Amino acid sequence: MSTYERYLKDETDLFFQEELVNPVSQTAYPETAGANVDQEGYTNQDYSRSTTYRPKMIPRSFGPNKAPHVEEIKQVWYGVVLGCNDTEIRVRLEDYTNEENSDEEVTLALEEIEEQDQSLIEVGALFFWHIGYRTGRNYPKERFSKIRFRRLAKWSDSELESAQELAKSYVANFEQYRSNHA
Amino acid sequence: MAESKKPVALEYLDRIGVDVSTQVTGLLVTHWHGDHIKGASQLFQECAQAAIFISAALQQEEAISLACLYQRDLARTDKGIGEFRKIVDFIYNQQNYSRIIPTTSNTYLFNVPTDNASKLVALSPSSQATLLSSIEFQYLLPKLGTRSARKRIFPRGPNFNAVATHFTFGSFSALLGSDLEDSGNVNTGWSAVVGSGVFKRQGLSKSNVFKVAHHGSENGHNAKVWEELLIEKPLAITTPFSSHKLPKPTDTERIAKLAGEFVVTKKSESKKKIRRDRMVEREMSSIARDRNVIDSSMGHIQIRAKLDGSYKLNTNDHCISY
Repeated sequence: MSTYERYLKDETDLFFQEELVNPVSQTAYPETAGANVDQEGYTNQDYSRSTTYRPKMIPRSFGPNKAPHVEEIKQVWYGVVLGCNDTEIRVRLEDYTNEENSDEEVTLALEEIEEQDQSLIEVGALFFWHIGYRTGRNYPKERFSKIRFRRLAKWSDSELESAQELAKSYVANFEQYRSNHA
Repeated sequence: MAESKKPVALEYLDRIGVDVSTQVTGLLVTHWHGDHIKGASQLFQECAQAAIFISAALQQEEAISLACLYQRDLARTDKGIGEFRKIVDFIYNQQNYSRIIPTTSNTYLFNVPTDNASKLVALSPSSQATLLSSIEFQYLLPKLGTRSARKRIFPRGPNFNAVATHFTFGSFSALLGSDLEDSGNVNTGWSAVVGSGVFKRQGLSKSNVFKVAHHGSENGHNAKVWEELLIEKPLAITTPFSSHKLPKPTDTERIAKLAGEFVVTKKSESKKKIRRDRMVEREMSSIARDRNVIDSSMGHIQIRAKLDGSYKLNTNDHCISY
């Protein structure tokens, strides 16, 4: 599976995993007609909001010659924030278009990040960066560059408690073994 | 990892004809940072007879909680902690407790007390460092009731859990610095090693070779280490940490003055260029600054020591000598 196919699969898997991880939070996915959803199906809303669960948006089929635009993605990076200040962020980019390429670290100005994503910026935050061409029915071919931060399901208390319980039992078993064999 | 995708240590041992399933008797996990432990879980499986020495700081409940939390990887959030998580899985799920030896200052990894003694002894972490390490892991753990965002974990602050070691082989000895740093606290890091008298207590000799701590950084430097634990003008070696551009030119200058020879496995800053579609490169150049390609090429330093204290140094083409 190429890195790009894996990236697409991750997006689908994330949907199901979020459902498993947060069965009681009832993650919200806006309906297809909602203005808050872009063409890829990314939402502009926090996945952890408690509203009625609906299936994830699948981009509507507009039929031939009716799609508002077509995108040709030339490059995809999966990025993570290494550091940030008031004006810029330092990030590490993993090349999803060609996984043979080495990672790169770059500095981006904060103004390159969309307003609605800026509150998500912190060390360790993950994002996608797409570069490509967009051709519209009503306008000529243009380049686009899009950085979108991921809105992953938040850690639930039940997950944290499970991890702590598991760690306690591991440590206890190990100590028990050591005292039996001292 | 090597270009063959095998852990570097496995590839090297294979190449020199070591049967890892029977001839490797010990493995040391010095700390949890990805650039030091990648591939360790595979080593544990293949070196089936080996005892596993692991920093005691990583056996604390907080460290293991963090690893357990990332057991279900969502969207590659676990890349920073994934290898440590696999190690925890290996040890605790398989209940391989007999092989595990928590390691702190003064732990012997091996000791052959003959006329030409051979031994490997841990110099860190101190007990205070182990405690501070658990505080660091508590900080990294999301807090109950806060609905923290999922993200990649990165180490922060000085490294409190690193295991530095002293290796003796007859008249030869080497000080292996791992990522041990000083933080201003005399009871942790190199200050604790120098101040604890472990060298005198364990009868350790001044070392001919120094694997410089923390990629040659300022935080990994302690003048007393050079004065009291090393011979004059020892051979100094290190690996770079490209992400932080270590060792910096000032670090290289400092170490090269103190050492007889200073060898780094490759340059800390890469001039490598990645070939991409021209439009992509133009867009990227217009937005991104201070670009640094993380060069994955592998430098290699081999030291073959003799009982009389002499040694032979071999390096590959990526290494740079100062």
